[in-house]
Amino acid sequence: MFARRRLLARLARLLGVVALGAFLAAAPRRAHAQGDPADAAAPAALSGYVSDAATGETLIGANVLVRPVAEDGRAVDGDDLRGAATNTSGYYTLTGLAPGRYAVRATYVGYAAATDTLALAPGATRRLDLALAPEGFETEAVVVTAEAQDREDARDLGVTRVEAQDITRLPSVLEPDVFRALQLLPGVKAASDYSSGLYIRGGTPDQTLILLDNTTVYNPTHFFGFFSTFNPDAIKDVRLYKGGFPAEYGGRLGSVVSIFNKDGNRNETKGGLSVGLLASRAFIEGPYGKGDDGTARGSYMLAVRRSTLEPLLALLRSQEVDGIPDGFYFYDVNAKIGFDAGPDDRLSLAGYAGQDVLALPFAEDAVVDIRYGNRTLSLGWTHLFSSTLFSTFTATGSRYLSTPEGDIAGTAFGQRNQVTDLSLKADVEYVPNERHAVRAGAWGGRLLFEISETFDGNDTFDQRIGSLYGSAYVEDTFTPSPQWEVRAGLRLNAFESGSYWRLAPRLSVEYRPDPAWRLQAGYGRYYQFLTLDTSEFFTGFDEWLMVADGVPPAYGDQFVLGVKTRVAEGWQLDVESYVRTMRGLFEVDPFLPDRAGVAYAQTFRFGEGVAAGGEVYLQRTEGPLTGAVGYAFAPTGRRFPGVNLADAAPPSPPGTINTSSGDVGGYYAPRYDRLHDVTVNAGYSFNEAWRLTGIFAFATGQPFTEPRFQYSLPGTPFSAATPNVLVAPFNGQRLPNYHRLDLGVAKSGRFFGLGTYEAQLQVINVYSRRNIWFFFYEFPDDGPPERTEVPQIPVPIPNLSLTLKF
Amino acid sequence: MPRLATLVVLLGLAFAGGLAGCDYANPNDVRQEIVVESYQVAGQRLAPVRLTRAAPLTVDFDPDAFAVRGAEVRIDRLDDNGNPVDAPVLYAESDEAPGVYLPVQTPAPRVVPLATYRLRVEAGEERLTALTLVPDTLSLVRAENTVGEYQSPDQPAFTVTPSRYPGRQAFYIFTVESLLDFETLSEDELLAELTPFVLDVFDEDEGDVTELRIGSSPILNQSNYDTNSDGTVTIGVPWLAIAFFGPNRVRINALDDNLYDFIRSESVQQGGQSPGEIPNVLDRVDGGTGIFGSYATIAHDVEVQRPPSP
Repeated sequence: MFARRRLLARLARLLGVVALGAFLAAAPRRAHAQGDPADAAAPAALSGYVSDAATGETLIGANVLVRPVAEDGRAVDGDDLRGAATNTSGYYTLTGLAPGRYAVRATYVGYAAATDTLALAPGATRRLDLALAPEGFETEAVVVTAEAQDREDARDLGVTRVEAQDITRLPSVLEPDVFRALQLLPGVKAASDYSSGLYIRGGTPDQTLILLDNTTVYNPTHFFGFFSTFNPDAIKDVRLYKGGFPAEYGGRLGSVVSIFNKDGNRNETKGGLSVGLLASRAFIEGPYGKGDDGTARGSYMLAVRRSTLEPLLALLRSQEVDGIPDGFYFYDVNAKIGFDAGPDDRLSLAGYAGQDVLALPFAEDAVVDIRYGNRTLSLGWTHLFSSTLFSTFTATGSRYLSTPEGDIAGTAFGQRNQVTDLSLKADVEYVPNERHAVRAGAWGGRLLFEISETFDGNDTFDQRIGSLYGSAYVEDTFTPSPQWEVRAGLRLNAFESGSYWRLAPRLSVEYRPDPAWRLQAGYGRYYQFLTLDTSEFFTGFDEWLMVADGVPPAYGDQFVLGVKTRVAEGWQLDVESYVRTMRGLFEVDPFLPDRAGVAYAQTFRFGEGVAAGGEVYLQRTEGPLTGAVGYAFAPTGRRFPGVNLADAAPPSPPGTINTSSGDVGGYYAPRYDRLHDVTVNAGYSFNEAWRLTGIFAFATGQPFTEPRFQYSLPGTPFSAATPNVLVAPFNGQRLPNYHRLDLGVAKSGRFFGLGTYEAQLQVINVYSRRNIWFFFYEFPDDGPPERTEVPQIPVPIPNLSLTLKF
Repeated sequence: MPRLATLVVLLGLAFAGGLAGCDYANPNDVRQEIVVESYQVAGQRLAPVRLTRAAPLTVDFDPDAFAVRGAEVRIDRLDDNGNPVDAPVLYAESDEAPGVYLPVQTPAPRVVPLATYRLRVEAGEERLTALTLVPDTLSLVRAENTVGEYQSPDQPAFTVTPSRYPGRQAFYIFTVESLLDFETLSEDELLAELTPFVLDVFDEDEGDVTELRIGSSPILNQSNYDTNSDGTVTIGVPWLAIAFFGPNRVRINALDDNLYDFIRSESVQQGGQSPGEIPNVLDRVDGGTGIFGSYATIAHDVEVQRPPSP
């Protein structure tokens, strides 16, 4: 109790510091807003939103450049080009501008540049909102053509962005998927064809923070892990921090995926419908209300998706095919509504709800019923204290609930597993001058994990663990010259359970010897207070657990080096290398058969990990042929007690059952380790109607355990069947190399004058590569053990879809 | 500029590659060790010890063919300081079963609950030792619903005095053994006695119905059960555990650390972890592998009647 009060008090102080900073930062606004005629050299500031001219959606990471010009508009001599990127709300700030005339130019990949010319008086602060016309957008009878542009934020160290349209264009297994698109990036891997879990730079899925509109999502999967929960129709922006992420983020050792839903079209009502083999989707978005200037006061977006397997299941049941479930479906709903409370205030309310259901009678007198899903809700408020002080405040709620239950031979069993996360978040961005951009914020909330189990009518397990948590950060981006940028940050993490306080420094440096080159280096310390007990087979039983007394947070350091360049017109090359340590990893002891009555700390095993590698990403973003080639060298190792035979500790004395403590043994390669990984994805537009897409992937085979010896125990008193035991170097061998080719073709056009359509035909695994998922060993009555291989997707899988947009 | 960038790239890759070392998927050496198999039961005579040698995966493992013969085997009972209490019990290889060693002394001493026993084996140059701390005995206080209809609301239940084990709660395994006459009944007759769920999931092509004669639960902790006011615990037998109609013998077994470790890790090896990952079993045999374990057990018979046809 005392720890909680102390934590609350400290969090309140931290929030107070942030608020005080906001107030102090707001003060100069009042002084500068009118300009100061007494100081003819007082610097001016320019800020505003950048949006899509067609939809009114704000654009995240757009570039805004200003250049001094003469009265007649001609460029003046000198190298006074200044620039800034829009933040996640689409807002930019440029300060420290000398009074005078400027040409302003806003650019964004896939959009035509927007330009303007304006004069800035001494000390003036000027708001300039800019709208960019998208590629192909017809305005005043002119078809817009996009320009070659970098995305400023997407070229930061460790950051990658995935275009929402790419997610639906790429060949996909049954359903377009955000995580599958991310897995095409170097350093981002799936455990198998059947898993959408993200394994990034040697990290497990729980080491990646998944955010939807700033709200943590705890089980981002549908179909028990086959693909992710995020509906591409609802998504505006996906950004992935593969590593070395800034102080704004924390709570995970590895990486961050931040997904923003669309705000909705602010200009006109639009809708769409998509029918696929697995699921169908529909969305509608549009403006509402009118302000004094005739523009919309706000916008809304609603996107729904539901699997449509029922007719197929009914057909299979009518054919008396075994193993067909009574019910098997999923759905998800994304909704967002935004409201402009004034020129400096925007409100938004975003929600997500998704559910997976499987009702399966799998044998005579046996049935299981599994339901799991997520709910998230976030209420956001962006407020401009001044042109140089931008703030966002968010209240979030996230709930994951899983309720698997069953009855086998008259024995009922069930589990209720719930995660509840309620939080408040505040972030401010302050740009006092042209050399500094300060970000600060705080995030605090309450996390509750509840698990209860019943078996045969009895309550067998009931665990409720909760904790307050909080964090605060401050970060300064220092730009001493146009060539150098130094970003230094500090993040303080606090966790009530176990009373842990951890300080995490972050530092990155970028040097731009010329506009085409960026040399980058970064370091960060990261802490993780949660762990996920999951299965590659099935995510419906996922269970989150947290630190406590005797279970300290895991921590790790990341060192990253990067070179980003534009090698030719339309070609971008990114090279990054990294080294990661993972210390104090804690995970549920896989050998623990029953945790009833076992002390919480004794249910874990503790180990270490290391990952180091390099990534090359060559991307073409313009022209009829677009795509990317990615290569990753990404070895990773783990060590946990009792896993590596060669390093096994000697037998512990009787009465000491916890063999998971003590010597952690030697490193081994976890199953998701891949030494070499190459991915090529390309799209070619023959004309406005036809487009061909393809993905080719090659990877070193994943580690597996190949037994060397065997024995049996014929005398066991506990079974009539003889137990057979294997002796094996753990994950000492590698499967054959993995490769696969997917192709797709799309035809688009007008749909009876009502809108547009796009028909897609895609084929996964075109040449029937039989990649091996894993081996298992069986012991026949006579003869040696037999090895059976289980393939990944072994045959070509077609995928058909039709999308209509109105 | 390109020259500088190239240099940085090479430095970066070297930096990462150097620290990464090489592939972590290295096949470590594993030895073809001697396998111990011995289960001591609290209160009963010292049990035999079987010695075999692990076989390559390419051959059929026949315990007789891989028997370790001519070994010196002895078991000591130790005091709290680890010193022998008496002279060691010497074992000699059975004339009838290769690799099976029996106590020379007849009758063999009884296994003392809560005592520690040490196995020592010398086979040529190889030396094996293993220790077991024997669980305390448990006793049956009351048995309920020992004759009943399958899946009726009144399940068989046993009230027992719990077993004790130094330093931890008791860990149990429950076994249900069919007492049908497996020697005389045909396979079809045995199949006809299977309960519906077991009959449906049993594959005649894959297995032998006699392997279903004894079934066991996973390991269950003492804390799963509420303690009665008199200190006993009442344990119900789930219908799921019943494979055959008719007479069955239910055993409640309290495990020592060695059996606990071995059984829990062996079940993970059978498929409890990520696909393709096969962890080794946790054994407590120094110089070899296998199991030198002990347990305490009680048993009671139940009669499971077939429900009337609908």
